[in-house]
Amino acid sequence: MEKISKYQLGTMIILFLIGSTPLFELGIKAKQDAWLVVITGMLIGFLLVLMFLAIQRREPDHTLVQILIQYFGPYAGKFVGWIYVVSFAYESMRNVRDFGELTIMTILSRTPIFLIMLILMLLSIYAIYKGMEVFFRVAEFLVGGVIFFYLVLVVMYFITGVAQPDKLLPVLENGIRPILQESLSRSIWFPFGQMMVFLMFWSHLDDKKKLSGTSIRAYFIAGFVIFLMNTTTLIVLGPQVADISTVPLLQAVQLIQIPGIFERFDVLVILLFYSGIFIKATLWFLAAVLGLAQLFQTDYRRFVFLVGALIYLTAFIPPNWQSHLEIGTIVAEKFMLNPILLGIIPGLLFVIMLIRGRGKRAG
Amino acid sequence: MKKILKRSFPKDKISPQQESEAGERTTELSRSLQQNIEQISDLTGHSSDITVRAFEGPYQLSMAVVYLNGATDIEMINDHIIKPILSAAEANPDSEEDLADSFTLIQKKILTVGATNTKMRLPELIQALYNGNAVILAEGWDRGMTANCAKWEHRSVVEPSSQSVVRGPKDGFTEDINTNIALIRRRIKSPNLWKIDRIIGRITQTDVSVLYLKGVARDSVVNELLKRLDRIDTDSILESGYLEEFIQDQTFTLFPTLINTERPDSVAGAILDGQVAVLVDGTPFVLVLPVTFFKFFIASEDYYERFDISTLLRILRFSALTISMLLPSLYIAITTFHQELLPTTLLVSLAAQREGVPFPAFFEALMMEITFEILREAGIRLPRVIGSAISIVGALVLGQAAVQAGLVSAAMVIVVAFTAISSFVVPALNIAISARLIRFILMLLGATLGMFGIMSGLLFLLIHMSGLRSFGIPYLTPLSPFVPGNWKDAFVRVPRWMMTTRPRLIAAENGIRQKSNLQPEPPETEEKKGTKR
Repeated sequence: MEKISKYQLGTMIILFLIGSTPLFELGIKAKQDAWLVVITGMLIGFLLVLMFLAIQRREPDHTLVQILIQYFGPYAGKFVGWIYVVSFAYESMRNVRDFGELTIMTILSRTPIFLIMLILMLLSIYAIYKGMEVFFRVAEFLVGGVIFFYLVLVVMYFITGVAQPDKLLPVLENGIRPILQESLSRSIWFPFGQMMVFLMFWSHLDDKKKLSGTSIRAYFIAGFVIFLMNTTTLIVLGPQVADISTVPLLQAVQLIQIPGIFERFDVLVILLFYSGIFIKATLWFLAAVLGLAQLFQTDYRRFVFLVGALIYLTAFIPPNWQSHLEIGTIVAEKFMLNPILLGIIPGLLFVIMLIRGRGKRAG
Repeated sequence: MKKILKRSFPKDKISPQQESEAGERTTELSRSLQQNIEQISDLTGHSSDITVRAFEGPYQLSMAVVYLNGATDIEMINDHIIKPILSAAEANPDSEEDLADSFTLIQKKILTVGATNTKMRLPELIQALYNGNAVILAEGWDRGMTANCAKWEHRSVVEPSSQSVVRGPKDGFTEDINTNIALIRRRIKSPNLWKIDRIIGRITQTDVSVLYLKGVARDSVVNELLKRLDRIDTDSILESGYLEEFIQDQTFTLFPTLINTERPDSVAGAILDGQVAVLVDGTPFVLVLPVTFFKFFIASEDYYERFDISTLLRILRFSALTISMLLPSLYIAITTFHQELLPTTLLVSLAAQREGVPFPAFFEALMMEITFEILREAGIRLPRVIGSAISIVGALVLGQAAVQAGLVSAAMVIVVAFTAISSFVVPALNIAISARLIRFILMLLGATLGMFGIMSGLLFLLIHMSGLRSFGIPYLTPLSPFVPGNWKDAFVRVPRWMMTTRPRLIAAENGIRQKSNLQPEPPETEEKKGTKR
């Protein structure tokens, strides 16, 4: 079994959670209190993370799919396992489509979207084909640069004076209710609840003692970066502009100007966005492939092309970006995808584990 | 994947032993001197540089010395083989009945050469002959005696031409493997410096030596290396490059996974870090392994100069490699796809320059890059005397005139020239060559997909490099996998007293190099003076 080190796990968690999140304004429904949504989302989401970690610690050598089969029985377990595999592939597909659309919108307006998505898919397939360890090493390589560039952007906001912290005022204008509502319905699931995907990878950690410490630390580092970018975008653009903008971060960065030298930082944003989406799409993809391999109990490399092709083809189903976003909302809110997959099923699993564990000890 | 490859490249069924059929006729030596000599000269195709000197030894024993002209020291043969035997013959002129022990008598009491050996079989004897041994045969012996008198012509130790330094030792390896080993041994006078020999190449019979520090180098690496060396079954090894392609981890990569150097001090330093050196007879280029990507940016001078300037230079080299990989493609991408990224004044000036240029930026860049590659290749092959002609043609005709003729823009000439110069900053030539190849691929990507293409290309390279290994060591160590302890000698070079441990993963476990409190301090008395004041 391929092993990953604690640094590789930690950096992957950071990059995965950051992903493309800073590009968009999380919790903007709460207006100028969006930054509070991030904090509450992070803190409540942490409870979910603790539950995931508790599940993993009870079964340190097994992945989610294997645990499901073990505790839900072969039929129900496999069925739920299939649901997860499909949902992983679905999440990957969403990232791929997002990537294609945003690339066309920002830098390559005349390039066909199939080409852009194809290139991303091929890179993902290549990374997975090279193996999980290699992919985690890629994250390890990228993490320093990603965090550094985000910090550069923050510093630039303040140097050029486009950041106006008073845009955060008045704090808690509508009370705490909208904040809680927004964080409970959205931000604890995206991005923080998505930590669930690491149930597929935690068992590969070489030093099991470092599991919780590394994961929690990485979780909060990622949370801090998201919070920082969310807040700075908010204080640069203000809640109204941030609400209607498609890519708020890009719009905020375009305001940075040091005349004569740096007038456009867009490239930096595209770079960050590219690496973030690549990591996120590939990790979902890898999780789907791994899950599938464990359902069939074979080597995961067999499924790389099949799953890759499926993700690529399904990314074309929405005719345009609007319907793509709409489908996302419908799946997330009507079908309650996130609460069920990230909250209820793991919760159920955990309860069963507790009961069975007690039974075992008693027996 | 593997199946497909196997199918398309069927293993050749030709037996590698074809060439040695001549040796299979008679392998045993006969007791007749005449017959043995005839057989030797038959088997060597009556080559005229096989010299036979026949004479009469003690007890009227008729003898002969056979040697390869040019490979042996003739004075040594005269003084230490022929002369002692002849003087022994003068002392014992009479024939004796029992000559059975004449072989041991001559070997033990008469010959004054250093190393002698007994060979029973003819092919071995001939091989010894070609290795520079003198072969002594006598009537009635069913075996041959070999005496090492090898003296090949070789260059003396001079300053290495490919890696020169301002400060540091100026000696370089030569083509002679024994000189090279001596140069390393002189620097590391330790019994733990172990040497393992192999002879590779069925026809060339090339000496290959593996040198490492026992207990410092990883045994797993040494064993893996020996395994890979033993697997090689080829007819010839003429340079360490032949060997490199046989023993590297992955062939289909743009990146070298072994370093080669002409500098004994670099090799000694590498061995002390736990790396393993592979020396090949006939070339001054010694292979060092395992290596990581960042090792290619280290010049041996870094350790002799002050640490702060060395650190700065290393960062400069990284930037230079990045520039030489990326600059033309970025220029193409920005001028074709993302003009808005440039400050307005610069954009206007670039646009004005490009106004009269009939070609797209990509074609313009490709043309200039190819021109440069041609100039560079010509510069290497050209006789020194007309070297200056190339620089005139290159600089004036192709640079200035091309701009004036409106074929290329001046900015493009600057970009190409800067790229070219940058590629020479990196101390290891083989990584600069990779950058050269990557540059063209990225230019194509930049021209078709702009920034997105370049980023995709870089991401591909990153995934590829993350998957590379050099003898089991991940290529991007210490960055990914992250090994904090190795950072002291990768991007930065810390002062010598801080390098308390050897690089992890490369050296064996428990690699303590020195005591940890070696920081120099001002003498006590000075300090007291200071406090008095």
